Amino acid sequence: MAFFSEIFFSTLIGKPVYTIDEKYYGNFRDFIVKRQNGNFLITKVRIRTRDGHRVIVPWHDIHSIEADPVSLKVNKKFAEIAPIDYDEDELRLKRDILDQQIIDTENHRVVRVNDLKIVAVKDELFMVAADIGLRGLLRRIGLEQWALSLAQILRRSFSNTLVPAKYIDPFPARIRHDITLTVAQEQLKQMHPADLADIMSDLDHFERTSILQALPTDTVAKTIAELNPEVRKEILGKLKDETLTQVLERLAPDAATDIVSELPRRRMQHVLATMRTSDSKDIHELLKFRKNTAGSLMNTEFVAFQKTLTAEEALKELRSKGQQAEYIYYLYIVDGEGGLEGVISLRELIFVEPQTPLASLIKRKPVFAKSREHAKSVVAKFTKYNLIAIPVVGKNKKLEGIITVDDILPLFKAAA
Amino acid sequence: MKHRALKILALIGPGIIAAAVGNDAGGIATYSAAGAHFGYRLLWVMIPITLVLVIVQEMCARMGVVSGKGLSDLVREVYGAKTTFYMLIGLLIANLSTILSEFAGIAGSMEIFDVPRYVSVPIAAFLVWWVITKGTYRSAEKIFFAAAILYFAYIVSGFLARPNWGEVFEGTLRPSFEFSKPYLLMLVGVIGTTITPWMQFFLQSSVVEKGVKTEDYRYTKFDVGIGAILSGAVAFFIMVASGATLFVHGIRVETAADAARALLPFAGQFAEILFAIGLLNASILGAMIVPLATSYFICEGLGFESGVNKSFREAPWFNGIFTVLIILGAIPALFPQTPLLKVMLTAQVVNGILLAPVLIFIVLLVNKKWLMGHYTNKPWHNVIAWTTVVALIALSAVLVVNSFAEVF
Repeated sequence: MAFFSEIFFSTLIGKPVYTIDEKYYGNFRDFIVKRQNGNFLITKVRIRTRDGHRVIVPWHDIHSIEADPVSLKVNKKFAEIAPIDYDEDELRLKRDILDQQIIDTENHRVVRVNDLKIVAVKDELFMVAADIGLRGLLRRIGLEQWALSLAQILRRSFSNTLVPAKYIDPFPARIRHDITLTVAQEQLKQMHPADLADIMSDLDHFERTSILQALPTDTVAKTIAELNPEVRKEILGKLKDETLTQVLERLAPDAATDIVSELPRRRMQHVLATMRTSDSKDIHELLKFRKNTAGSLMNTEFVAFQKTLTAEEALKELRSKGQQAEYIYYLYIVDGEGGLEGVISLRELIFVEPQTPLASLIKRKPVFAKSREHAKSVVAKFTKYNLIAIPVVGKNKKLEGIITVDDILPLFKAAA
Repeated sequence: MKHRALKILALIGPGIIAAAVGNDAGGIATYSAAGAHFGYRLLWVMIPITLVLVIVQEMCARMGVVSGKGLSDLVREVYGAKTTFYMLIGLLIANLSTILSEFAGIAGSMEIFDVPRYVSVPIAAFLVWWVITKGTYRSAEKIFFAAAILYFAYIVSGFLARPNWGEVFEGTLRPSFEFSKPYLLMLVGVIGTTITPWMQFFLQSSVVEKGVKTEDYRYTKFDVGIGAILSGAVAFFIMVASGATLFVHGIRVETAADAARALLPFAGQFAEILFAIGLLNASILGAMIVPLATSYFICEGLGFESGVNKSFREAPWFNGIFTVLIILGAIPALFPQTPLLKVMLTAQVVNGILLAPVLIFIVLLVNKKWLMGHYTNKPWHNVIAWTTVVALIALSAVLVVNSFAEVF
């Protein structure tokens, strides 16, 4: 068998295929591939015969691929060729990957495939990378040589931009509005929600839905929280109410409130009504606050201790209740009515004698924000006191929630 | 019932905007000239044209809703890089000439208000660039929609011209056909300026952008229908206005600004101003949408990064293309010597050549089972679609051959 060591897929398309006795059989159309250890193994070859039929032959029927001029040879005579079919889990390179959009899971972006790199290892062929660069595009148009000469005159290098096959997540374009595609790929599942959100905004709504269906609800929830409002609005419009409820239940109340507040009124009421009461109560509370006030930014899941407790009792309570809280490095001390008395750090709590009463740990009056306070002044307090979190109080200094630095960060960005 | 009305309002827009943008500076010039040269004898054409427009645009809108992809994406994914590249190059050239005629329209209409082009063109170019870089499609859509409503100015000026309504009805309902070269060319010109390749791209993309669900498609269909009818009506009244005044007095016009000026002695200053405002509005709308849309189609088809909120570094091709298009479109409009008629003819030639493959792609794609599922064309629909396509291609071939001879 004689194969090249590497070749670009586009240079094969439409090239002649001969039988073993050197007779013209048809033209090469496509490779059928199967994912194997990150690469795509070529399993079958699709040929358009000279009388116009499309036939598929197994890869092992191919005798050789000549480089100059490019041609393929089957190791059988005309009468011996037995066409086969391909399996459902197989993809076609030309139809399903070339010229399509793929997710580059390494760089978290959506790109269009200009060409595919094929490598021969012993008797097997693999599609090892997608060419997404300008050079690949020019090759397809037929201007690559011209561009290369130009690059040489300018003494510039002009290389291919390749995405390794293991980072490719193809979106086969088959009846997208009917079939739910599951592109459940490990790479995608492991991606950070913020990166997923970036990708989402580059996809169309069918692709978004198919990705969301492939991801665990927890990731879906976090990704939705990270999306920009416009994309989010569209996705929320397409989610079923039950899914939306599940998503909201997995988010911190402040993030969930942001999402709920963007819903049309009737849907908002419906979704809140179907949620777990504990979650919907928090959201109801937060919805009362006007936009851009401390109240609208705060998270209602925090850890507060009665000032009469000792350090030991407090630690015990923290172990049992602290799971829910977003943030436990600052701990809040309250009086019998829940009024804010002071703030201590987790560090302080751990390193004092177990019997120390919490009240004695309070060193100074705590810095806090009022729930109606404008976000701008909250930001100012964060910078002035170098805070990581700030308590928010309502009437009678009652502790209602906390704002952490990541809730505030977007406002910093807007101010910068 | 109330719920349904709200839904219609929410989904309406792309069709009406696309159809309105179709009546741009070049379109207004063509319709004015058609009225001035042939009176009411071309009015009947607007009825079949509107039907054809509905047929073609409905297919694009349907494809947008069902596939969720723009036309240039689909052409790329189904017909490959080479075909897409040459199609987009054609679109780029055609649209550059369109942009030029939009800026010329701005210059011409502002001159009616005594604003010199050295002031109006740079300001307009900056405004266009600012809206593109600072706005989002959704906020811009509202402006576009409001601008589309301003097209009613033309309908009003049609009434102000006090046409003989009996003759108007006769011209509309009784097709008169002449086998003279000028008549045929004008006929083809009117069709070519109403059904342009880039509008099909634009409509499909904006339907996709809107994220219409397949079950709500009927509302979009409604939107497309209303849009096409409004656009036909506007063209109709422009022809009526110039037919009632310029044709009667034997005045020939070549640009839309000429037409506006020529209206003054016959239909009064109000009609002139309305006509000029309509032209200004259409030109600005076109100058905003065409460069942006062109840049989008090219980047999406060729796989370059695109998006209005991306910086020059992130999306160099996208930002580069629309910036260059605005500059190249605005500069020639600064000089009154620019041969506008030749520019328009060039645009018509390239558009005419491009229309054939684009229409064929549309009908082929909309019939792909794997793409459209059971939303492909019905057999009778295909008969109408292919007949329309063949007729349009034949007519644009006439136009291309003739304009080619005139330009070179």
